[in-house]
Amino acid sequence: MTDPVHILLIDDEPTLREPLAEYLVGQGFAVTEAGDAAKARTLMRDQRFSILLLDIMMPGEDGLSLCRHVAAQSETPVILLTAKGEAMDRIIGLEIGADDYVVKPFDPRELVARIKTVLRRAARVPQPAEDEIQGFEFDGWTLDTVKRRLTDPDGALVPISTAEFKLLQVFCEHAGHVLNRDQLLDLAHGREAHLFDRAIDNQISRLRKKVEADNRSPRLIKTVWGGGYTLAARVRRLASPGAA
Amino acid sequence: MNVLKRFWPSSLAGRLLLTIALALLVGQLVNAALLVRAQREQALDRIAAEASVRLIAATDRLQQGRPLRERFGGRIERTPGFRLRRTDLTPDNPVQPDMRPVPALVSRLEAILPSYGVSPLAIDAALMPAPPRARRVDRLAAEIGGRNEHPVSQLALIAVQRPDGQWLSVRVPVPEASVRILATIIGQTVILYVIMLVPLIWLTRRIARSMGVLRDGVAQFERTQEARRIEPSGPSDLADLTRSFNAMSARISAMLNEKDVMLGAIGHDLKTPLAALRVRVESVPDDRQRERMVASIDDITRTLDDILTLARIGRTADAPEQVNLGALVEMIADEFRDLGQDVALEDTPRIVVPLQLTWIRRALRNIIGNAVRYGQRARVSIAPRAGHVAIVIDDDGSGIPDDQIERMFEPFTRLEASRNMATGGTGLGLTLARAILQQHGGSLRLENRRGAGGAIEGLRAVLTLPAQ
Repeated sequence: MTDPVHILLIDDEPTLREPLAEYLVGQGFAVTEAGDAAKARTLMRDQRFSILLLDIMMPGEDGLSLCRHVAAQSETPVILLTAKGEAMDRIIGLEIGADDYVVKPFDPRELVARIKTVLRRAARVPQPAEDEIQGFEFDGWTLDTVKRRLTDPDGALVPISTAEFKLLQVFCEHAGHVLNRDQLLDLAHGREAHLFDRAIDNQISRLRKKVEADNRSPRLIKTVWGGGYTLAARVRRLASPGAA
Repeated sequence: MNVLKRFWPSSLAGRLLLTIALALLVGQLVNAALLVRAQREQALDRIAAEASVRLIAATDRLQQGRPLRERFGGRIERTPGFRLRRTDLTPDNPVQPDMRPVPALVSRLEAILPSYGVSPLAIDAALMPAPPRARRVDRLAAEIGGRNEHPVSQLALIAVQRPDGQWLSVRVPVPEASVRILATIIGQTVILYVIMLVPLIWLTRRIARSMGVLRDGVAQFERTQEARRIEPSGPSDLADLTRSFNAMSARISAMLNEKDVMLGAIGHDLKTPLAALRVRVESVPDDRQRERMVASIDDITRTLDDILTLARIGRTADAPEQVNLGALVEMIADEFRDLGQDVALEDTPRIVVPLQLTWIRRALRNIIGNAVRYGQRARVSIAPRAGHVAIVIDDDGSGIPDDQIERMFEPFTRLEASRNMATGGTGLGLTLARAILQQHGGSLRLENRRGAGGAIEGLRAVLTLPAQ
């Protein structure tokens, strides 16, 4: 096997840092601890880490600032540890270059799962240029992929679930192509998601309810006989979200 | 009383003006009454004086044995209104029972006559209509420019019984009660009104304007909880009030900011040890024990989140966004269905409402969650009404006793028996939901759904949100 995954864990609270490091080591990771941002910067100058676990609220330089620095300087993925669960924090966290976040108190097993997902995504480097894309526009609708929001042609927000969002994003990325259920599952949820084909049909139907004027004769998300589904609209990629 | 209330103005300026106008009117009416009374007294004095003079003179004449008519007749013949000023000597009392008696004249004559040597057996006085001819002559005289300017319609008939039993009587014209006095009073009142009310209106409107500025400031503070200085204006008491309000709102705003900082610190300081505990729990070998510990930690976390949220309502910087409320309700219903819950949703029209998405989503989740938890299933419908949107959520549970409904909105309240800790929840869900809706200018109401027989069929929650 290859080298073990090397995690840099940055948190000012030893009461959390120490047991978490212990737990992660128990899960087969190599862990280096840092009590503040300055120490983390020093460590990062000398070594390469596979991934950073970063607390947001720290005395001195805070986690967001360090995260911005890391995102600008290196390709090392970052998962934020945050005490706040509010939407604003999530958006800010992702916009400044973090790859994911967990809200304290988190299930350590979930954290491990997130670490693995982020690492797998990072392994597919070089990152496709699509990362530059900040949104899509189709038939007057806007899909903001940074803030994960869908806006209708009149500018009103249309709340959709994460699954529906991912599905719509896949459609936008492959506009005009016919995607069968397997491809949709794979692209939207990854292979590890244990979803059935029916789940995709269900999500398609929910998505149609929201974007189609008439649910029974869909105009945008069309069913292709024997094949699957396709987004039948001209899709424009947006460099900055909402710029229509 | 109700009628009075309807005409009673509600604004300060209106009340002030109406009160002053009414007080002025009452004052003027009293004034008028006093004037009319004084005029009447004066007229009676004059009549009594004239009657006395003539009675004394006539008595003298009779005592000297001279006839009454001779001299008076000759003189009066040339005077207009001669018929009005007759002096008669009759065997019977000329005052008829159908004439209106004037006791005020009798008492005056009783006071005057004895001191001039006239001591009648009886005195009688009454009013009688002036003879038509006399009235005409009098009117003519008035037209031509005689001294009697007011036509006389009434005469005072004064009779005294002489010691020999005969009645000596005189007639004196009664001056007409002047109409001019009423006109004067009305004129006065109008002038007073103009002089007093015009500046008063100006003043009250100025005060009302200053108060309006203050009221708008208070409303603005209530809405945004952000202290903004209001320029003190108007009279000193009002300006003082404005200054006091400025000081108070600044203090409240500072306290609220401190609270936010403190809550953030509490949130962080409690969640970090909780996170540490959560990690350490993983090393507990006994699965059952570990799961219970995890559940307890989750409970604490949920309660902590709810408390922090409740304290933060209305203090978020998020501006409201135009959101398709139907799609939001649909998404939440889907979430519950994915967890195997029974949530039925009627057709959702496209209703766009300005709201803070994360907050309203939370309120809806709480209420639909209550419905499926305590009432087996939720039936959700959404409909535009006049000026607002209503979301109705029905369940098939046992409802809530009517007298307990209002109490359910208080923090940490749970209905006994069926709604206890075992079913989960923090006891803050409804408190939070109502606070969120009120923050949006909407409302949350609970009511029991009753069947035809009056039996409770379930609970209904009605959420309203203002449409744009």
